[in-house]
Amino acid sequence: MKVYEESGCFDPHSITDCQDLIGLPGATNCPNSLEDSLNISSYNHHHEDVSAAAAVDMEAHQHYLLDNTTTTNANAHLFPYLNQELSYDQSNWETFNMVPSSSSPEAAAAAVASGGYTPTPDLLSLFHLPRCSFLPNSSISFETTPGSPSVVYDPLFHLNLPPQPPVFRELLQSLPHGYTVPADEKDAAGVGGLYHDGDNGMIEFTRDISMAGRSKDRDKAGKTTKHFATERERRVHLNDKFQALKTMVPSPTKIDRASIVEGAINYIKELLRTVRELKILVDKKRCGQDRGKRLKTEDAASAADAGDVGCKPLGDPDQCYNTSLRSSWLQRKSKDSEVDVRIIDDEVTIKLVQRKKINCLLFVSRLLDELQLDLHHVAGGNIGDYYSFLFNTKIYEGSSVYASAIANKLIDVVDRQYAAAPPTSSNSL
Amino acid sequence: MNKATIIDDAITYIRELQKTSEDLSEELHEMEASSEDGGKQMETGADAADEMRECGIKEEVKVTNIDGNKLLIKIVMEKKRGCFTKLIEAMNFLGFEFGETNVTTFKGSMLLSSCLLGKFVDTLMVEQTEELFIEMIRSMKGSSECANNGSL
Repeated sequence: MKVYEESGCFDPHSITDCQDLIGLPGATNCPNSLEDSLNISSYNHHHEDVSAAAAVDMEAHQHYLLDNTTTTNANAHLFPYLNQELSYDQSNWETFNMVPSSSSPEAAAAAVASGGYTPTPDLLSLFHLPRCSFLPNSSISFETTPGSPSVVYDPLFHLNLPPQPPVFRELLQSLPHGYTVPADEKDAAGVGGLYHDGDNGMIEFTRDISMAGRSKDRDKAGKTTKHFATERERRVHLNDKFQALKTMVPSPTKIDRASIVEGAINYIKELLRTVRELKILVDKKRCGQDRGKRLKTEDAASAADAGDVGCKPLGDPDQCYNTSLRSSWLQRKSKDSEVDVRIIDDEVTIKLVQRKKINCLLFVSRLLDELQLDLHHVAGGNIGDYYSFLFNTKIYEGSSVYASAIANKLIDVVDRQYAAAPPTSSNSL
Repeated sequence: MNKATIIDDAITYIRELQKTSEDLSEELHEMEASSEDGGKQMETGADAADEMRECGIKEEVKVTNIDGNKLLIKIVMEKKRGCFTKLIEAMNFLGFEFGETNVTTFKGSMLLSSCLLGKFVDTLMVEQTEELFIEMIRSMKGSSECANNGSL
């Protein structure tokens, strides 16, 4: 337990602490201490010290468990618990913390799992001892705060065990609760790097512990405090940046960082498309204006005829070659509606999905008229809780409406109407 | 390139792109304001009616009562700018809710078929609705553009 607690009072390098925990095996079935021993024994060894001692320890415990008939029953139903506990793969300290302390069988289960003990003899045969790890490259990552550099800690990694057999993996994958094994050798190397990297892993670990403010590190005391100041500062800074990024992106994203980054990526792509589209439009407009001026200086009669033809940018070889096909696509989402606008040349396709509350078709149609879009095709209706519509339109000649304008206005109108409408019970008819 | 700098760069880049797109759209608006729009829309209006006549598409309004409060509507009319909006307004005014709606345009004509949910539908209602739509189409036929004046 000591290891998973934030107390950090356990110093893996201190002999005395370890010795306290090793002493248990003769005792009657006390799952907590068992768990402790299993965990501590893994901590107990420096990465240099690797296989022998740890393996011996592990085996000792395993044998202990095997011999102890009273525990086999308990262990038999540990298996399902294992998966449950271990499914907190990326959980915080606290979550993981609470899990083992919830009840002793589960605690034992968690311990056993991390210790890599397989409850039943049948399963034992599947696994190669001592490489009995449910978490071959187990990444139980502890993060005190979202910003901290996560230490991926593999309880058994320092044993330098060979990669687990495929059978093992398949078995794991067939387990309920969908616990996933992040397995392969590359990962192992990565994890190892972190952990083995000249004490850095350990230092980071202890540093994180100290983040919780309960540092009892002796010689690292001064160093820890210094790290504390800059480390925390850095984290806060980074978090602020993520928040800033989030505010710049228009669509509502979840709070987690991955979504923020994903949203930012999509938004940047969208902005690039919009800029390109606008450039093309501006060029076309400029060409059109130039041509218009040129036409006016020509003969009036011929200008009237050429008025239809000449104004088409592609029709006149003497003018600017604006053959680039204007295309654009963007989406806007809000809480109750979703808009997707695609433009190719002068055809605009609009998809609208809106939670059914008001009759949005009228407002949308009005807006389309405003935007000078000629309706060619409309399809849609009521699907469950939502209205869903598809509009195929063409841009009237001379109008230079662009995608983001359409999308923004549309979602604006829809949302406003939605907000304005009184909350009525649906299907009142 | 660590995380912090990547995020910083992203923020800067987004700002830059936003500014560029704003500038461009402003420029576009200015150009639009200063340029003249040709009278092309007028021509297309007249063309539409001709095309329709050529193809033999007749104007039509059909309103049927199906399944209790539902109305099935089929309207074929000359396509004008804003006519769809007018039709929708009318239906809203009558208190109908839209079920499935489909609009197709072809050769200057427009076909609207829609399933409407009404609050209180009987045969009289059906007839009235039909007459109303016929009236609307006739009034729209004359004008070259359906202004959104809300009159029915």
